[in-house]
Amino acid sequence: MSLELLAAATALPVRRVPWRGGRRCAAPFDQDAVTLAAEAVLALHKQSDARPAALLLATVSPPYEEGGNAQLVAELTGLGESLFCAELTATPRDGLAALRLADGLVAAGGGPVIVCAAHRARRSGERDAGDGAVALLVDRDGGVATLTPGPAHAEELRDRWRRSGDAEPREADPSFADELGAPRVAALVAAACARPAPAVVGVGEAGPVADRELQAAICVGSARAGARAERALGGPGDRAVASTGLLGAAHPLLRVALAGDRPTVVVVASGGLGEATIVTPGEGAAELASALQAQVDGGREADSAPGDPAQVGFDPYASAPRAWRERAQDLRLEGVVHDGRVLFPPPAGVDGPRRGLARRGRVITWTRDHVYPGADTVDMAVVALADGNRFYGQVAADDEVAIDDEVTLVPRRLHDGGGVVQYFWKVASCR
Amino acid sequence: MPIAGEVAIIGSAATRFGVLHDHGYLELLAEAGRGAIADAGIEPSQLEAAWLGTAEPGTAALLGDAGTAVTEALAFAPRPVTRVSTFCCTGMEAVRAAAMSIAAGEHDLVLAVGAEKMRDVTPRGSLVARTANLTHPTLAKGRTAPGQFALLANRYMHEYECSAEDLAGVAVKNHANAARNPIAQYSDPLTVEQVLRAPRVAEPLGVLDCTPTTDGAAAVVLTSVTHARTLGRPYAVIEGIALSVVDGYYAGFFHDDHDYTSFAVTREAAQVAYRQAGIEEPRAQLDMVECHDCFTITELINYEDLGLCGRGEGVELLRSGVTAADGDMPVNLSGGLQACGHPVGATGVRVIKEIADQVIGRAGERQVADARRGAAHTLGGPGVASCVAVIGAG
Repeated sequence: MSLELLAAATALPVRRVPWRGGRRCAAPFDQDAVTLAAEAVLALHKQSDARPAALLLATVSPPYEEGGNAQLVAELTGLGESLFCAELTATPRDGLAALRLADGLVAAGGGPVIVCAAHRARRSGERDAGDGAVALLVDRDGGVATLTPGPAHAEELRDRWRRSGDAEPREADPSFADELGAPRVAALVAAACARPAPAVVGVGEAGPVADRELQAAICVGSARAGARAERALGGPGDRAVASTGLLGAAHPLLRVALAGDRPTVVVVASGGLGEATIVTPGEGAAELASALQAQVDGGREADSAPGDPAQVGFDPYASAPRAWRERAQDLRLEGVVHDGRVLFPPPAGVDGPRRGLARRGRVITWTRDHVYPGADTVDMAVVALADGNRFYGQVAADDEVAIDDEVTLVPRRLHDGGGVVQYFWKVASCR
Repeated sequence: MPIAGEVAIIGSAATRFGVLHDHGYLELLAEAGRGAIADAGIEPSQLEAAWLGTAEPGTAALLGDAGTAVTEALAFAPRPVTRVSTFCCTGMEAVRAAAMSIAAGEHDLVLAVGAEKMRDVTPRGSLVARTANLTHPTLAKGRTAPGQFALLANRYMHEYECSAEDLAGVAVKNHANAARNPIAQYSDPLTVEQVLRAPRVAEPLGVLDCTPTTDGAAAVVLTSVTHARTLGRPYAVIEGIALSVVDGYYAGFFHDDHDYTSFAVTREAAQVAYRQAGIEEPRAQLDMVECHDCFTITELINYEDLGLCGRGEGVELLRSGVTAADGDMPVNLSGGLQACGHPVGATGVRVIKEIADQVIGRAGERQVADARRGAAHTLGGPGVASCVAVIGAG
């Protein structure tokens, strides 16, 4: 079985901070794995009109530990509520594991599928971690590349783990993890692609490409160890990591999308788990890779990552029933169509079809508020939207706007009132 | 019976406005209420009903959450007391509701009192904290009162020839006026430089562009003009009073009928109040105005919305000195909210008292010679509710 890659998109925070001689993406406080994933999916929407039947989210930095993240992405991106949603939140391997699940869904007639992975570094110990998301749209045919689930691997090997109740993860000796751990597993999986024998799960599917010259793209938890392993296998080198950092579960998906016009086996290994996807490029793969590489290479240099605001005196009201009741308003920006206009927020007692507000517009006015307790300063803006409606809200952290600027609305987290992450939309510059 | 020209203000009083750590909410309310009753020359037992304006009881341990606060503070039982709350129009709405009961013939003597106790907590702990924490979890997050008016300041400065120095000029004028008002929270003069150098609150507004948060109370006693004539005491007449409400608190800034250089709600309220009072040319027919200068930009916009000048001409009106104490149309002779402070529920009653004192001829050092008629204005929401009253000599 195999998948066709119809489209790919990234959401990479614009700020790039120094990291190991290169740089990595650093998201501000109002972006997390859900907002990054949603932005990537929204970018995907711009490339394809296909109506996905499923959304698979992979992340090892979920805002909600026990699940409930994928449906937030679906709401923020307007994918609808009759969607198959699932999330994998175990290891970076899950980026490619989600592709394997997508293959099964598509084979069962459940496509197209969005496979999305996101990473938001949460701990200072995640030194190699960049923030970002990648979304792929896959279906049975009509794509720019064929994605074939390759070999997989599972053995007891614990290099980074967290037991129930642990606030921080535990780590094995780096020399064990980086030399005997994941890189070895990755090499095993990559090598399996070149063998016709079904020595490991999935290698049978890899058979048709086994005779080709596959370049190996290796993703493990250490950028240095990954590069070493990839060099040893004659791989092309990771052209993303030096600009983005390692994007957790999103990184192997990024390498799938960046494979370009070379047949590539993308391998990810995390602890004792290994997973591979074989990318067979078709027409348009190189152009897609080139466009994504430009996004990888973009961004704005900065000296340091943005800090979290001191939220002194900030204890916002929250209500789970209200959040559910008004989810269309909050997450999909939907108003009520009445007399040809979209009324937002939807007025009580006005019936009509729901329609989302336009997401682009021009700033009418703005201010920088120094006394709002939710942050050190909060920029607020009023936007005349392209559909004639208005939006009033915060400017995205790490961004600035001015009167008459063209802007877009982006999903962001507002606050954690009552322990519930409240998502809404913010104003972002189009610059 | 129509309200216009039929209701008289026969007594009024106000407490000091300021940070009054030695006064609780009920004490403020009692002081203003008793003062107005004494000023009217009546016995407390003669009052038949009362209206209480308190906007934010949450800053005073819920005191003022119901009209029963008047019952307690003024031993008012068992007479009816109604609490009203309309953002910063709260005090004027209390007066308007009380006046309606007189005009309707339901009562002969009523009390309208506004009180607010905001400074049992720090300035940021009062309205800013409430705005940040208790408002809508998505639609209002990031809002503060100064932040909402700063949006107008930036747009106004973008549209018209208006500078930060012009905005500062409002604060300078009103603080100078407050030197002649014994109840004002601040009575020291300011310079433009001081205003410009003050810490920023919501750009372009600094702390001296903003009204402070304040404790205070004010009250008026109302009766019919017919009855007032029999009392043999000076009185003022409510020639017109109108409340306009154009939108909800959260929804307003999402609607496309707001151009951020004007408040339609003030224009609506002024139109009705002026019609009631027979005013067609406000500049010619009013002797002075007390308007809602919660932020410096608001006063400039109010000039225009109250019909004292055309759109975009507010700055020139200020620069030319027309609205100064010795100008043709003095505005905020009391010092306004800028210097008096803004105990939200009390402010609307205070500005009506200020105009009533002027037309009665007892405004002391602030007195405008031969004052016959003035307008009082409050704006709340911001920009979704406004009340305008025209007060004339009895």
